[in-house]
Amino acid sequence: MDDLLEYERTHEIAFASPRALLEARMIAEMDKARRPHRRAHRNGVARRRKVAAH
Amino acid sequence: MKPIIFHVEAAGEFRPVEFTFASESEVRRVRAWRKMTPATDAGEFAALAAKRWFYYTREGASVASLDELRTAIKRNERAELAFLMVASAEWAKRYKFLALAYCRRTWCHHLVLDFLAVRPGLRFAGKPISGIGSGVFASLADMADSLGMKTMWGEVTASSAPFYEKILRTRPVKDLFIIHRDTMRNVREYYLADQQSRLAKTAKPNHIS
Repeated sequence: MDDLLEYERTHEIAFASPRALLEARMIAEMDKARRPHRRAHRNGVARRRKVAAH
Repeated sequence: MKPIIFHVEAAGEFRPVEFTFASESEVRRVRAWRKMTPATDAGEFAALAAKRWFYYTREGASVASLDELRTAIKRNERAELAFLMVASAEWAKRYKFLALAYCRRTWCHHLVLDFLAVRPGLRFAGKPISGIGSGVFASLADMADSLGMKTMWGEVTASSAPFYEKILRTRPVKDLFIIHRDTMRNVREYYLADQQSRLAKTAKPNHIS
């Protein structure tokens, strides 16, 4: 057990099953693709204003 | 449900850590690990595990408590269910979560460990906190056993093999670890016996003259 605790002290404990990781990355990509694009409003580009009706 | 408790060594003392099923708001907090610990595998895995949990939740295939797990199994004994377990401690509140484990209950009532991550750089009173990964694994083995699961398994990579070899006390561990009830109990018993002996050592008065 000393050996294990020493291992935990000296190594990052972050493990993922390769299959689970692949699936999670695919889900992340799908989410990204589903999100609406808001690029036009970034980088200080002014939003178009509605023209007031007279 | 009573939380699962295990103990870790922090600043020369044994301190309790709670290990519970994560609720939706807790999974959101887990997702934030990526910002708090950028450029670490733990940060990336936490964010991806959270994404996967939300995806399973949208499909109605996740649970957020032991009761929900039991009810879902009663409703459909072949249900495939995902859940995220988180470790937290009152005395280390600033971290909120110390570790996470993303698991699945398979259609044939086995436990699969998909993600295991301890938050990097954990310290208490200026000293590292140790024994969280082994505490999480031993607690999962105990939980699987108490749920009547006959098998617990997970995929192993080059980076996780040494950890699993050490905690399972077997070599070599290659692409998969597969443990049955006798090994789950051995892991838990060995873990508890070691904790008790450490506790006795720290509780003993110092007789050095």
